[in-house]
Amino acid sequence: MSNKIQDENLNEKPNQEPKMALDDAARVKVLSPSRLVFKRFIRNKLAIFGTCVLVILFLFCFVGPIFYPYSQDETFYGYKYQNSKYAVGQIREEFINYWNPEIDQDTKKSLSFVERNVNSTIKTMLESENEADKSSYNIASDDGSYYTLVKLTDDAYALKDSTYVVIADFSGNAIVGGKATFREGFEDLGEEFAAAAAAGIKSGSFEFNGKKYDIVKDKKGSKLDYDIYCDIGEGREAKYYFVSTVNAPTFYKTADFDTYNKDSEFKYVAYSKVFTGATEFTYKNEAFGVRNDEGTVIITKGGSDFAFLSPFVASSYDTKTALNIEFVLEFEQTVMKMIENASGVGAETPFTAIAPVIIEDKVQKDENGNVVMDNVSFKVIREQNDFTVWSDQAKYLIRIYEDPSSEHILGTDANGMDVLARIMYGGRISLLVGFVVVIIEMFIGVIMGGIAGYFGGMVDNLIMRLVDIFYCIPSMPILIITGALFDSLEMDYKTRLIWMMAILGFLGWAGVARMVRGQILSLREQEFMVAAEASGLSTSRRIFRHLVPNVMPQLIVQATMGLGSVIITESTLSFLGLGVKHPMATWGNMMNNITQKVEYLQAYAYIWVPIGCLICLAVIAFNFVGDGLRDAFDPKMKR
Amino acid sequence: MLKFIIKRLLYCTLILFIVMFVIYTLMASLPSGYIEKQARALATQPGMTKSYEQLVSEMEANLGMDKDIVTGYVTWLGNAVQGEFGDSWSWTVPVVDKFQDVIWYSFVLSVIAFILETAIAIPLGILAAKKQYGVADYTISVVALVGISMPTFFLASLLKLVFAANLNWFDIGGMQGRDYLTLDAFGQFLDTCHHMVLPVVTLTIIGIGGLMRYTRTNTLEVLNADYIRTARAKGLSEKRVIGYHAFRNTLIPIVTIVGGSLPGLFSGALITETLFDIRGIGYISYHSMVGGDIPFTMFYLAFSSILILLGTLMSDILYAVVDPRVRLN
Repeated sequence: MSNKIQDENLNEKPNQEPKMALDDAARVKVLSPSRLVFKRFIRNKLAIFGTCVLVILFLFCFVGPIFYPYSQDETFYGYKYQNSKYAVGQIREEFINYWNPEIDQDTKKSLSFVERNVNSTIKTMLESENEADKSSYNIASDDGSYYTLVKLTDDAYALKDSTYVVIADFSGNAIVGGKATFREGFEDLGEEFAAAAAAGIKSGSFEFNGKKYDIVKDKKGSKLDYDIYCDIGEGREAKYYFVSTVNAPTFYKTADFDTYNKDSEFKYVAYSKVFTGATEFTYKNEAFGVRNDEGTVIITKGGSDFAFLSPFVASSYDTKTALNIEFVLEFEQTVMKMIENASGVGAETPFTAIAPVIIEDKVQKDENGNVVMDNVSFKVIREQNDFTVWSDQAKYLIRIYEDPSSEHILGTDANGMDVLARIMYGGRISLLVGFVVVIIEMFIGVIMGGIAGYFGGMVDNLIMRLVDIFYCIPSMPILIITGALFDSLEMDYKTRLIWMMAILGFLGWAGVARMVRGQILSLREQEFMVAAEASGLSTSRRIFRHLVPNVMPQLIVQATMGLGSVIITESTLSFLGLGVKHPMATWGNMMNNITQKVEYLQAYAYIWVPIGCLICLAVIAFNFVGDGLRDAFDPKMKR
Repeated sequence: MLKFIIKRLLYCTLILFIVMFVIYTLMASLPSGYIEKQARALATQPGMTKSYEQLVSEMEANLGMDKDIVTGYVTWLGNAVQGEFGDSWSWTVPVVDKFQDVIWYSFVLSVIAFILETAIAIPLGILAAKKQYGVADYTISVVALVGISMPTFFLASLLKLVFAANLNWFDIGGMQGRDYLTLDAFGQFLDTCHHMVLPVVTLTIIGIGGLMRYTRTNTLEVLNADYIRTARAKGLSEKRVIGYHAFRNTLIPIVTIVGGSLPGLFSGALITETLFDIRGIGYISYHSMVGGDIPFTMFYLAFSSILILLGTLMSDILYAVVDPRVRLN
């Protein structure tokens, strides 16, 4: 090869300078060694190809991100339609209560026992054979007093304070002594009353002063108590509430129903008016109308529908947004249809209704603050006794696995990050890891190999045994073990990267040291080293100024080839999830998700195949360049 | 010769002891390993009266991990020399039993791949050298380089994508098909073979590049030798020059390197087996390592260290055996 260069030079020169002596120094154009190497290098097509690939890769990875608008850990969000629950509906089977607004809190509290028993009492009344029991029934309270549940219509019941009250306790042991304790508010009826009571215990009733008293056994703990009841005639003022039935009213609402939802007072007033057949009523100085539409009682306000009465209850799923009456009516009709068709659990029925437009869980409002209404399509799904309404709502979500678009050229990944940006940054890390590791390897290797080769003897022996040991350590298992260790330590991804590079470099120096030692052993005996020693140069100068530069070509070749294998090792580790971790991108860990789900293998081939090709390309390019450099440095070694 | 082998064996044993000590130190000092994980799980169980620390020290005592590194290592070594490697933590059987269960899958896998590799790579390498700078040479060189540069996981994933996912010719992983149990013995054998195809192809493609390059380089060197020029000058046919004079000399380094890789056939293919779910030694030890199973990992590391040492020893010996010019010592 070098002969050929000289031949070319011979051919050129005579044309310019015909007179030239054979021993003329200028006759042969002498190229400096580095230029010679360069010239040989650029003749190698594969090496040039490799260099070009590397230059493009470097530009792509290190310059590309400067011009690319996204960073590697930027998560992209966007509005997406997500089918989510909008409302829940139910046919009410139980009676619920609306308190008379005049009832104070204490009374309500004392009534809680009775309240709990209302539904079972109504059931008893409906099943009762006795006509009188069907229209009214007594419920005992836990404080001993009686209340009466009165049937108003099939759909409504009222609870009244009974006139039948306890006036005395007659304790078990007091029967003998004839002692009665009288309740507050009743004058002492005296010994005679007690005696009459004691006499009447067996029959359960007695008369005293023309009034009839009932004795009811009331077992408290171990001793027997008797309560004595009496109808006191006028009684106390009636405190009552309405209870709705299966087919009876609950109240629905317009958009501002929320305020009324809490306001059971309105419901009480409205229901009492509807029940008494009134067609209009006022509540808190506002006029309401009542009309009957095919059996559905609708309450109107200012001419428009305001609420309607139905056993069907609907509430919005998040309970924050209000349901509008149009929607609820449609919903109810759909549910009734489903019940008619005997739709089973999981059955779906679509319907459309005018409803507020919801984006990101918020009701959209126009400039005037009015709710934006639109025709929205819903579907009802039956879940046992509940009916859920689903609708497609725009939500602000992470845009995962988006297809390639003009915004994201390669789409987005599992974390909603831009794939192209991550490829660029990933390449940076992959290449950087390669360089750092190779530099560590070279650094340790050159020092160890240099010392071993130069000094020989014991030092050499020691270092070479160390090299043997490091040759023998299986590096991939060690890397996997440390990777798993970092995982269990939950190490920060940056610390982890540094550790990984250090370990990779530490495991790889032996090869370099062996090569450097071999080279230095042969160079040491050459004349220039004898000359260097004779001229009295210091040891370090002799090693690092005269020996190491001569080892440089082989070092550069080994480093270039080493880069490729480090990139492979790093990407393999990251691919297995034991190397560089999210959010830091590397080419290996970007392919990691195909190990998690088999479906991704096919579905996201357009992401992982190009990345894998990039890894291959980078390694091939380093190998080509390494090959080319070796041939250029030492043509005799040409392979 | 015998003296050399004995000397080398002794030296290898020494190196092995040191390497195992290094590895033992690493394994023993790993924090948050298997024991800690188990203890943490146990400590949170209802009705557990012992604290996490108590559990850890108890388990360490049970599993023999409570000694300091040197004593621990000596104990381990003493047992290991007697072939006693303890019980695997994650597979809950003696390490040696598990090893005997799985090693043959790896061995068969590697042997088939190895035979294919040598059968393809050596002829192609010689061909490339014969036609140096020809189209065949460039093609072979580039293919070899691509093979070397291809990460195993990428090749395996590509093969899975094309042949398993897209063409549906093979299963995506595992060693047995869905209806394995319904097949007769021969059918089961065929089914297992069918599942071995993709791993074997992966291993072959990965291994072929290096050997091909090596063969080409050495053949080129031989072809430039004086005795080849002499053979040509004698007027021998090209066929005889290449097939007889060159080939035999080319074989010297190739036999050395191929022989040196023979022990490696037992070491299993860590990545390939893991990706294809082949329950060989590679797969088992990968999961042992990730799960912090120290007895099995120690065994596997000792085993692969021995294989590496044996490989170098073997290639040294073969070098002397094949090439009479080389004398040992």
